Order: sequence, then C-alpha cells, then structure tokens
Amino acid sequence: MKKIVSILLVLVTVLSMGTMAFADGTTTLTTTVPAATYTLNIPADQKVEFNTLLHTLETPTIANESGFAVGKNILVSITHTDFTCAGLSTTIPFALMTCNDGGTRLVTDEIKFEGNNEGKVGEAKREDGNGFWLTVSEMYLSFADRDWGKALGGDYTATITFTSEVVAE
Amino acid sequence: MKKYISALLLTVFILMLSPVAYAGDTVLTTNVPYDHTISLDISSGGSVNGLRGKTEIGVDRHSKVVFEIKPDSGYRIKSVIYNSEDVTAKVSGGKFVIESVESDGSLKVTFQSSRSPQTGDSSNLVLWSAMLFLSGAAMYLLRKKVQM
Repeated sequence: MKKIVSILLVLVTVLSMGTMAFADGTTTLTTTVPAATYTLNIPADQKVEFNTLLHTLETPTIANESGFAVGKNILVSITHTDFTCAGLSTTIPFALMTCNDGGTRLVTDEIKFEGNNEGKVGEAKREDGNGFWLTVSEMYLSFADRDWGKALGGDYTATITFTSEVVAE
Repeated sequence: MKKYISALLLTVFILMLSPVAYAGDTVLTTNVPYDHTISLDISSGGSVNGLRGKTEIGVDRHSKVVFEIKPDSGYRIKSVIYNSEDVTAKVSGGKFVIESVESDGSLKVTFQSSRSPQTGDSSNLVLWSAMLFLSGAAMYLLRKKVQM
C-alpha cells in the first residue's frame, strides 16, 4: 500500500513540476460589427409646371444613420424615365442635374454620402468629372424648350428612382 | 434531398452577404394643355381679326393662327410685337401668321396716323429771320448815330 502511495505522490510531484502544454487547443474570437442603418429621404412626388426649363428638386438627405466609418459610405444611384402620356407618342425628356457651391452644373446619376469617424455620414456629394466629390448645393430637372413645344396635349408622368446601398471605398 | 437543401442554404447565405440596396421613387406629373390663350392689345386706329382694344382669344395647341391686321382709314401699322419680339417685318399683306401655337402668348399691335408727322420747331421761321435782320440793322444805325 505504501508503495502505491509513494508512486502516486511521486507522480503528482512530477506532474506539478512539469510545464503543461496544450498543443491542439484553439481560441475562437468573435465580434459583431453592427450593420450600418440609415434613412434616405428622397424628394416628394410633385408637379412640374408646363414649359418649365428648370425645376428645382430637394436634394436627398440621410437621417438616423449609425454604424458608419471613414471609407464606409452610402451610394445613391439615380435613374429616371422621360415624361410619357398614355395613348400619346410624344415624350418629354429631361436631364437630372446637380449644382455645387462653385456653381458648376452637371448631369448626375450618382450621389455619395461619406462616412465619418462619428459613425455618421456627411452631406450629399457628386463626382465632378475629374474624380473629386463636391457637395451638392442644388438638384434640379432641366428641360429643353423644343421638347415642351412638340409635346401633344395631355397628362404626363415620369419617375425618378433613387437606389441606395452601403459601400466601402 | 440533402443536396438541394445545401444548395438552398448556400444561396440564402450568399444573398445575406451581398450588399443590400434600397430603392424609392419620386413620381413627377405635368400637364400639357390642349389649347392656349393669346392676349391681344390693339391700339386705336385699327383692328385685328375684327377685334379692338384689349381682349383674349383661345386657340388649339399646335394650330395655325392667322392675324389679319387692318388699320382704319388714315392709319397704318406702326409695330407688331408677339411675345416681346418685334415681328412687324413679318407682317405680309396685312397678315401675321403663327404656324404652330405651342404656348400662351401676347400680341400687341400699334397703329399710327398715316399723315406726315410734325417734327422740329413749328414757329414761323421767316418772321423770326426778318426780326433778326431788322434788329441787326437797328443796332448798326444806332451805333453809327452815336459815333457821329
């Protein structure tokens, strides 16, 4: 019996002195990146006056945003149809344009809201054609006089579609 | 069966990983009228399509409109202004034609008397010349008398 106890004690002593290593152990790290959330406000449905050459639209804005960061932006693609009237062949085309603080007007099909360090996004910006994104000061529809002139009488409708998504630079 | 479920789950997983896009529409409406109004402003001394003074006429969109401009006896057309543009030179045979009306407009026609207009000073030139000559002569005689 003494022998067994001695062996057991020696074993315990040896084990307690030795370095324990767990070679095949794994540590799983987990984290949750909160999804970016936001509300995109787009211009309300509205009527364009006959013969208008420039019709101002409210610039889209972002509200209630969270989870953004520098390089994590909101991109809004803008597409539209021409004005059409059921039963009529004539259409009234127009261009959607934006103006920056410098007063440069450009046809625009995309605006961007850049994420910042506070988890928010900045103002709407559009690309100036040279790779620079400038703050949009005004958005409007531009019509040609001749297109109004040739349109047949009737009630016309057009749709502007704003598609937004969170993108990384 | 397991294969199908796996494929379905994989598809759902891929879809969940894809960036989510949201779309919203702004609907625009406009009305192109079927007819237009042309405001007429006709001065005294004539008529346009038998109309005088200030009045309005309604015309169909894209219709051709002929304005017959008739001065009264002793008058003639001074100017014809359509939508702020002087179109007097476009009046031919007393008619001004709009080939296609595409918007509301305004036509202002002014007539004037066809008699020769009075210009310049209307005072009697001969009388004033005679008086000038007489006063000059009187001054000359007076000066001569004083020297003597």
